[in-house]
Order: sequence, then C-alpha cells, then structure tokens
Amino acid sequence: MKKTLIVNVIASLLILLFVYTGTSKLLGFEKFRIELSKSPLLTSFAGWVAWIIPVVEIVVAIMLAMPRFRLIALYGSFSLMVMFTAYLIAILQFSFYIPCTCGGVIQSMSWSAHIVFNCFFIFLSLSAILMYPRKTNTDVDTQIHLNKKLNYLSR
Amino acid sequence: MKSNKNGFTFSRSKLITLGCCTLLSITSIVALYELSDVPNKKKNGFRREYRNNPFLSPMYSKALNLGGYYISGLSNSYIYLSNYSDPLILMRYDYELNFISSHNIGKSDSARQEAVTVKVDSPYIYVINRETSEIHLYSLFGKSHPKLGFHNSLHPKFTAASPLSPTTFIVRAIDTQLNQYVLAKIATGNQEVKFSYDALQKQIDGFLDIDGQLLYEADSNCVIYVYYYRNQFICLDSNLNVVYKANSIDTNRFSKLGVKKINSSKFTAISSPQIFINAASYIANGKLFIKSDMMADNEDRRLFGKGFVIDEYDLKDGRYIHSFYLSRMGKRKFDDFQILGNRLIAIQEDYLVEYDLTF
Repeated sequence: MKKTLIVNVIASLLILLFVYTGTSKLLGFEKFRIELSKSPLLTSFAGWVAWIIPVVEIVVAIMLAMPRFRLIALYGSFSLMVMFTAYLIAILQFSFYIPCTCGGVIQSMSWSAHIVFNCFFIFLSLSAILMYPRKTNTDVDTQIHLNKKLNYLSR
Repeated sequence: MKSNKNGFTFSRSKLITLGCCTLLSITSIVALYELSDVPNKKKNGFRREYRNNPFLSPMYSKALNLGGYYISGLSNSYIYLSNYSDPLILMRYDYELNFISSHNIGKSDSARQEAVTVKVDSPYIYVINRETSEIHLYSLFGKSHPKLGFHNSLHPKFTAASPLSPTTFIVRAIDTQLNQYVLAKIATGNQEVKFSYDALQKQIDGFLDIDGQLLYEADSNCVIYVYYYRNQFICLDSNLNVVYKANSIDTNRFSKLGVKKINSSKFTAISSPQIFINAASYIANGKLFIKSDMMADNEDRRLFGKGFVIDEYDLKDGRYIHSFYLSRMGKRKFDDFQILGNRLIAIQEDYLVEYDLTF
C-alpha cells in the first residue's frame, strides 16, 4: 500500500537522523556536554540533558523501527523536532555565543538553514502521523502473532 | 474519520495528540528560559549616562561577503582588515569604505593559521603567532618585505602581543610557575624580560578567566588590559608599572565563567555561557572605549537590541564618562572596532561599518 510505503520511508529517514545525531553526540560526549553548558538556556541542566537527548534520540529511533511502537515514536520525533526548533528560535534571541551541539555535518549548517532543516523534519513526521493508517497490516500481523502466543501460553 | 485526496487521515485523537505534543515541547523550552539565568534577564544593578545624540547611524557601510574579519589597523588614509581564516592576506579599504587592494603578506608557513593575528601600525605589519610565540615584522610598502624574525627561546611563551615599537612588545605571557597569564615586556636582541606580576589577577584558572584585550596607544604611552569576563581594566605605563586599576560600570567584579578540565586531554574548557562583560575595547583620543554586553537598568530593552552600546572612560584615571550606541546592521553580531580621530570603524559579521563620532 502506497501510504504505508510513505510512512515507512519517513520513518527510515527519521531513524537515520536520530541514530546519526544520537551516536555522534555520545561519541563526542565530553565536548557535547561542555557545549551544552555554554548555552544560556541549558547551563544549569547540562549534566543530565547531555545524557537524555542522545538516549531519547536513539530510543525513538529503535521504536520507529518497531511497527508496534511506530506511531508513538512518530509523535516522539515530532515533539523532539518541535522542541529543537523552539530551542533554536529561543536561543537566536540572544546575541551572545550560540552553541550548536547537533553533532556531525548538521552542526555546520547556518542558523536559518538549521531551522528550515528542522521544519522539514517536523513536516515529515507530521505527514507520517496523519498518513498512519488506523491499523497497518503489520500491526494486525503482530496482533495475530501475539494472540497466538497468548493462546499458547494460556493452554 | 475524514480522509482527503492526499491520503491524510485527520482523526480527532491524532489532532489532539499532535496539539498536546506541540504544546508540551514549546512549554518545556519556555520553562527552560524561565528557570535559566539568561544574561540581562534580571536587572544588572547599574545605570548608564548618555551623550547627546547617543544613537549613531552608519555613515558608510560595506558588505564584505564573508564573516571572520577583524580590523588589523587604521592608518591616516586606509583601513586594514584581516580574516581569521586566511590571516596573511591584508585587505585595504579607504575611509569611504571602497576596496583598494589586497596584499599578500607572506607565504604561510607550517604554523596553524588560526593562531595568527595581524596588526598594522603603519608602516609596519606585525604577524603574531600565538601558538609558536613568534612575531614577524613586515613593511607595508615595497615588494620585498624586510622580514625581521623575532623569536627567542629564552623568552616566555605568549598568547597576545602589542607592539610598543618594531623591537619592543608587551605580551601576555604564560607563567608556568604561577600557572597563569602575566604581562611582560620583551625586546628583540635582548634576552631580559620584564614581568609585571601585580597586574593580572587570577580568579578561577588563571588563563580562561584572565582572558581579555591588550591595548597600547603611543600618544598616551598607555598600556591597557581589559578583562572580558569581569568589570575591570588595568592601566600600565610602557615599563609595566601599574598606573591604576579601574572598574567598568557594571557590577561583575568576579568572573562567572565556568571552567572544566577535559579528561581526555590536558586542556581546560569554558563550561558556562560566555558572557562578555567587556567584549571589545579600543584606546583613542585620550579615552578608553568599551563595547559592553551588559544592559543597564535605565536602558530600553528594544534600543539595547537595536544597537551596540559603547562606554567611554577617561584614560587618565579610568573614570566613566558616558555611553552611546552604534546602530546594528540587521541582526548581525558585533565583532570588532577601532577608532581614528572621529571615525569609528566596526565589523559586524560580514559588514564593515563606519560611524562619525562628531556632533
């Protein structure tokens, strides 16, 4: 089905994004934490935000890969991207040093490019949520599989 | 459940969940702002006086098409600009901001280019390498540049230098025993170094917290060191005797800089917002001009956003005189400025801007 295909493509793009940014943060963890603490908004929370962001990114990526949790993960990606964009807009209000800690190639983007990039992914996750069928075949499949398992266990 | 042509299904529960997600995400950022100690959010506890007509509009402005420029020097007829990414190319503009020429100072050697600062004090060009602690001297005129190498293994390592003459320099040296920066005077052909131990004062780590701008002006024979992260500047004579220590008008006596040691290397790094109390300074006309990032209590927040505030101090005793604004080019950030007579030349990201200080 066409819709499922689009949803799957979007989910794969999001997985790619979150795995890439999440792991690049974890690989350069020390630098990431220090960069976060330079942000006027995050300085007092840098210690745990530095862990939470990449962990959440990777968890969302894993959930996106699992059909059962795909819809929840899409809501998660949507929220994450909205949050990052709101943070960007907020931080641009200050004319002080603005740290960027997105990791990897994404870090080299200009601020306007960054916002456009984020909005694109907000749009993608939004579309995927809206296109997400009530129950996809795979969902039904897992449901059947689970039922079988339950039947087997209760026997 | 409605489904339109595009294949979107707008169920009520989806829309409600999306709305909640958006709201929650934005609220979390607003909450972060409310909880954080963003600079200038609270009152800073000081007031500014303003000169007549405090808001200066640009007399000329010129797009440079690239950021990363700084002013390497001003002569009577030209403005010299260098770029951090390619420091050995010197650009020359006239005071109507017309591009005149670009001048290749020399071949780049193995030294990392980011560590090079160029200063022009006509007719000399000083190429200062902060990494190798070398200073090379070139001439602005003539094709063959007489190059006077300046490097002495007996001299201390330094990270900033201000030429008093082509042969004597005030430097911000690394003192390995005190483990902090100190000011020193060095000279070519002379191994003797004069240190000033009572000028720079350590508050945190002795390096990052001491960071600031080293200035010298020949007319007043005055060396000034302005700290970036605390409200202090020090005036010394050219023999490094402290003439006075004065405070800039804001209340940040102690640097709020967070400093963290990086485990994986021997370096320390700044681990807090870099709030420049005194972001850029320059000496001219018997005054010290400081571009401050701190908003005063009697300041209009909108005006503070539309312009850059410059505070003027009397060079004789460091007394605060008054302040004025330089209008901002769009949303650009302020990078650097220098003054010659009544002309104030500033760099705002990719813009070169000239203001007139008269009237």
